[in-house]
Order: sequence, then C-alpha cells, then structure tokens
Amino acid sequence: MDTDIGALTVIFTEFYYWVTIPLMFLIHVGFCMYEVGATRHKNHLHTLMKNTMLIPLVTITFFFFGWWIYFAFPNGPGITGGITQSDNAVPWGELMGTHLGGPGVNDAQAQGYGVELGNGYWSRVNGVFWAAFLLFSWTAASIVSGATIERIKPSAFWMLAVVIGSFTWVIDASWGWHPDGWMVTQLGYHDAYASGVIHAIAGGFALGVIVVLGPRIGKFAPDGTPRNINPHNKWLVTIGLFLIYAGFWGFYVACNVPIIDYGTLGGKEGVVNFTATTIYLTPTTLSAITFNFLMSLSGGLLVGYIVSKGEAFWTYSAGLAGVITASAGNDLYHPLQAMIIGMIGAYCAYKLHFWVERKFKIDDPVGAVAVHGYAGFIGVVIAGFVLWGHPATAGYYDPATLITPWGQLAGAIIMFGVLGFLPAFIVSKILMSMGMLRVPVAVELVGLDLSEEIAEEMDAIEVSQADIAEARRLGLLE
Amino acid sequence: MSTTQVETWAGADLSQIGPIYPFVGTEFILVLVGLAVWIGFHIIQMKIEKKEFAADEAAAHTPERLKRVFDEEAHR
Repeated sequence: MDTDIGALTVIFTEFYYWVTIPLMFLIHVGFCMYEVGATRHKNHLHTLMKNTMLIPLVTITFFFFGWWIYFAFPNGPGITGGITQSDNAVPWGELMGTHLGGPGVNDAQAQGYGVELGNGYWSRVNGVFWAAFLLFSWTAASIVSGATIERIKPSAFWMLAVVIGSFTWVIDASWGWHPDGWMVTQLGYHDAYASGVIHAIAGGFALGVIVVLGPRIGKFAPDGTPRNINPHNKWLVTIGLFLIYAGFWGFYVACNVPIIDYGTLGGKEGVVNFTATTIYLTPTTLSAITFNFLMSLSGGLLVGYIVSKGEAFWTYSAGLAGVITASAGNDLYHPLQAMIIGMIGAYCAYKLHFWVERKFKIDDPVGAVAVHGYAGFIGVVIAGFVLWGHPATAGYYDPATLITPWGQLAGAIIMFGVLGFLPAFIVSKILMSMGMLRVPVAVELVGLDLSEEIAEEMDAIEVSQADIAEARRLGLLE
Repeated sequence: MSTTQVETWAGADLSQIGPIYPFVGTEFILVLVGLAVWIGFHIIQMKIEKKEFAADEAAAHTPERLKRVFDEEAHR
C-alpha cells in the first residue's frame, strides 16, 4: 500500500472479490428456487428452510475453522509437511476483523502462509477472499441439499452441510486448489474452476448421503421400476437453474487472482508482467474463461436438448453439466474444445443418472449426483488428457509438476470418493443409527409442511369466523 | 476514552494503525461465545423439530387428513 501501483493492485483485488460475492449469491437464490420447485407442494416450505438455514450455519463455522483449514492444510498435514501457521485465518486473529493494515495490538504482523504479503494486503483482502470461498462452501452444501429433499430431517442436513461446507471441501481446496497444495505439487492436479474441488466432491457427498437415506416413498414400484415424482412448479425449477448460470459468472471470476506481477512468482527476472492468474498462480485471462464458460454451456445445452428430447429440466441441467465438465481446464482450453468437452460431460451425466437410478435404486430428485458429481469427475479426468504435460505449478516451482491423466484420475477419486462419498456415508450411517437422519414415515406421507398447513387452516377459520360475526352485527347475515 | 484504538483521525498515519474494531483483545472470548451460539442453535432446533414431528405424526394418523393430502397430491 506504500506505492501507487501497490495500492491500486490491493484495492482493485479487494473490489474484484467483493463483486463476485453478490453474483454468487444468485447461485443460492437459484438453488432455493429450483429445489422448492422440484418438491411436491406438501414439502415446499421445509425444503426452502432447509436450504436457507445452511447459509448462517456454514457461514459461522467457516469463520470458526473453514478459512483456517484452507491455509493450514496444504501439506496434508502429514503428506508433504505439517500444519502451516496461518495468523490471517484463525478466528481470534486481528486480521479477521476491521483492520487498516498497520501493526496489530497483540499480533504485530501476520505470521505463516502469505506472510510476505503483510498486514496491508491481508487487512484489505482477507474478508472478501474469505467470503468468496464461503460462497463456494454454500454451493457445495446446497448441491447436497437438492439430492435429499422430501425425506431428510433438517437437523441432520444442517450437520451434514457443516461437514461438507466448512470441513471436507475446504480440505480438498487446501490440497488441490491452492498453489502449494500437495495434490498440485505432487500429482500435478489441475482443476482451475472446480470441476472436482466443488462439484465432484459435492456430488460424491450427496451420493454418500442418499445411499443411506434411501428413496422417497413411492419412488420405486415393487418391481424396482422408477416412478416420476414430478416437480410442483417446473417454471420455478428452470428459472432457478437460469439463476445458477448467472451466479456462475461470479464463481468463475472468484476462482482467479485478478492482478499480479508474474515477475514476483518466478517469471523472468527483471521483467514486469502483470496478469490475471488461476488460483494456482498460473497465468490466464478473463477472456479465456469467458469464451470457455459460454462455449461449454452451449455444448451442454445442445446435447441436453437432444438426449432429453427437449425436456426443460434436463436441458437446463445439461447446460450446467457442460460448464462443470469443462471447468477443470477452462483456463486453457480452446473454446471449441470446451464445447466438445461440455457435450461429453452433459451426455454422460444424463445417461449415468438414469442408469444408476434403475440399477441401484438411487433416488436423486434433482440429478445433483449426475450433474455435479459424475460431470465433475469426468471433467477432471478429461483435463488430464487434454492438458497432458502442461505445468500445474506456478513459476516459482522449477522444475514444474506437470498435468497427467493419472494425476487427474487420482485427484478425481480423492475428490468424489475419499473426501466426498466416504465422509458423507459414515456421518449419515451414524445419524441413521441414532434415528436422526430421516423423517418419520407418517410425516413423509402427509408432508413436512403439515404444521404450517394446519396453522394456516386455523388462521383462516378464525378470520372467517370474525368476518361472519361482523356480517351478523351489520345485519347482513342472520 | 474510546472502545477502539482510535481517538481522532486528525493527523492519522494509517500505515501505523491496525485493528479498529472495539475491545481489541477480547477476540478469544468472542469466539467462545460464537461457538456456544452455533452449538446452542443445533440443540434448540433439534428440540423444536422433535416436537413438530411428534405433532405432525399425531395429526397424520387421522384418516381424513391422509385422504385430503392424497387427494390433493393426485389432483395437482
């Protein structure tokens, strides 16, 4: 902050991340709309509140420990080193509040990861950077929410939301979405816009929960044939998905570092080269990700329309699957490569959803496991082939660790299976064994909104009786 | 007297000013309070949910209610 260019860089970075946050809010508005639309009317209020209340719970827990995990765990710990000291991210640290960048009262200078950036940088960027990550956390938890509608207890869901939103996804980010994460430096893992880091883990997590939770009553006929439990409002569902597309712009932009001198990151000495980078501090441009976001979205939509024969929900979902599949390498792909990769992912997600549903009797009402989990997994693996040999690490790693198909496959398995499916399955099993996971059968049959409906009926009767009494007083009724 | 580290902005050198929220030094206590709020929410919410489901379950055992829900479902 003591030079003009330094101050401009910091203030621009602060503003840049701040702008991504309201954009990403739209993702959550979209998730709420499409989940509520996808439920039957008898469950819609509980579905809304289930998704809404993950916001405060994931937010406060991300403040307590999620943010710290990101900075503290790049080495595992125990894989390439120990826990990294991260004063900027501990919840009692002075940089986790209003701070002007000078020496602290009890902490003179932030210690640990990013210490060279100093208090001046962290005091301006910490909160907006925290919030950008937090909105990813909401997204991860919200993806799981959709798969569990109409039968999970809200209390159980909110505990699971904290597990993925403030714990497991942050570990995967620290490992595979951090310039010094061990998956990046050892496996050459590359996932610039979070095909695996958000989507595969959330899809895997959702699968782990619904395997234990079981299908909704009536979803499968006695011979195992799936029945369609239709959304109560398809228009709301599709508008919700449209809003998620809109929020995705913020998501993509938040995955970048907006401006940095590459000379400070291991670029050619003595040459000043300002650029945007990915989260891995590898150079890219906003143009690249704009091209590729739109082309992969288009690829997904085109395939989705054909395979679903123009069905609105799956066409929109396939658009999302297209973006998600291409996201791992959308910092580098040619736009037409992004389109083709998006088409492959959307096709696979659609086919896998119905195959898994028939074969394993898995009830995923919104296709979250397919659209996020399978598409994300496939996207990470495809990036391993298409970007084979490209450096995964920033310029200050010499020699660089290179992207490979096997590194990406291992990464996809870690995301979907190890940090996604497994913890969800274990926690869900524990909750189920304690009778805490699924709503009582009778409540599921009459709908989770019964209390609200009875209360509304009583209110309506009371008002009606008051109206009748008034009409009698006026002589309009005998 | 100020609850913050700042008593005037006149002549302030911002590069020498750190945290400006009130009661610097109480962060650890605030975190403990925050953790209690978080855990407390889960406990209270679970109690509310248990009561609500018990009431819903009781109401669900009336044939009229079931018939009404199923009729509405079939005609939506």
